[in-house]
Amino acid sequence: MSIFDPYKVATTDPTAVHLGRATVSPTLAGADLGRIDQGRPQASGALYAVGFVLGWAAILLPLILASLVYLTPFAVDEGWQTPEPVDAGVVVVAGTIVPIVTAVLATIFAGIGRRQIRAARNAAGAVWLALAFGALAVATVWIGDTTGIPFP
Amino acid sequence: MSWFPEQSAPVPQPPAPVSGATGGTPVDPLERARRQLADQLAQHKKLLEQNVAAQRQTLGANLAERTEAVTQPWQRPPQQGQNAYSAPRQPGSQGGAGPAARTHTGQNQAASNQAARPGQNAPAAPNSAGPTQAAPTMPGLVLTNVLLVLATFAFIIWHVVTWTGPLVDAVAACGDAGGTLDCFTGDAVRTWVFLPLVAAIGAFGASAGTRIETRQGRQRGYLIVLAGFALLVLSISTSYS
Repeated sequence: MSIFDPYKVATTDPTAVHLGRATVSPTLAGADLGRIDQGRPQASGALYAVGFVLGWAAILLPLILASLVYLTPFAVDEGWQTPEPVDAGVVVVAGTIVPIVTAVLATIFAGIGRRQIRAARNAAGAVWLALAFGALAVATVWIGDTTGIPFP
Repeated sequence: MSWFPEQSAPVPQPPAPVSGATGGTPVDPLERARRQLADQLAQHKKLLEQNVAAQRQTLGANLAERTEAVTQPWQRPPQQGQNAYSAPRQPGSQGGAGPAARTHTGQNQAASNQAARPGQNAPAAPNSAGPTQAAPTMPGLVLTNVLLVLATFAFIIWHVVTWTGPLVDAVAACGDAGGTLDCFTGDAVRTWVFLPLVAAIGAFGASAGTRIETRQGRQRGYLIVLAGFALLVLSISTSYS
């Protein structure tokens, strides 16, 4: 049995509709989840939701990282234990430049991804969203390794 | 009466040769027969074409009816031309020419627009560029979406009001008991800052995704809005534990 012709109607019924794609519509507890119009490619709302979250994470995550990096001197003043002190230049790079660059890049990537998804190009949108996520992940790992802040 | 039929009834003889319509030499019987045959052939051809056209119309109407009877709207080829999305036609409510012509052009164009492989989307139909096809309105989903947005706002306000105190206390206590930067990334901050933040943004994202599915008229918008509510519930339950 194939989802493209589960009841084998194509061979017996000459009026069967040949669409070249699955003709079985998924259901959830009887409610139909299928596409209304299989003739047109549809945008994926779930993927767009992920892109929305990534867009905001692209702004907030570098903000959190930068604030953690710059909290270190205040922690020192408070007498708290701090991670091993690193070079001031490295702190500036890790605390300012990298977060800003990451924020800009990830926002742009996520925006492009959302735009592709809205144009019903889900695969291209997913690729751009993966790029945005990758940029955020690389920045987080690098800042964590360089400055020793315990994030995440 | 005799036993031989040709003695009881005269055998019909061919009529005497008469001149042609324009006068002149009498028409050769063979030539006249040829003309008669040509006339009859033309007449038969006309009748045949009429018959075939009528049959094609009936067949087309039958095909359209049968297809609509056994398929769902999303299983049919996309309608071409200026057709907006319409409810299934009443059988026999329109003339035979209308549905037949539309079905023919629709099927021909749909056949040429079909995906080359299963799994591929069909190439964009000529009328699919703009939002000319009206998706079915889903008022229930729109309402649930609005409910999700309001619930997210309420969740943010409630969480800030309720859990700021415990958060400050926890961080201060962590600082007193040997402060490290872990105080800002530890359990308290995680459950009372990071997780609610992610939940709120995720709920707003679910609302955006649902808006897209509403525009397309897909029922899976309900799933997405449900995921948004689940995120809020998860954050609430984690904050209390």
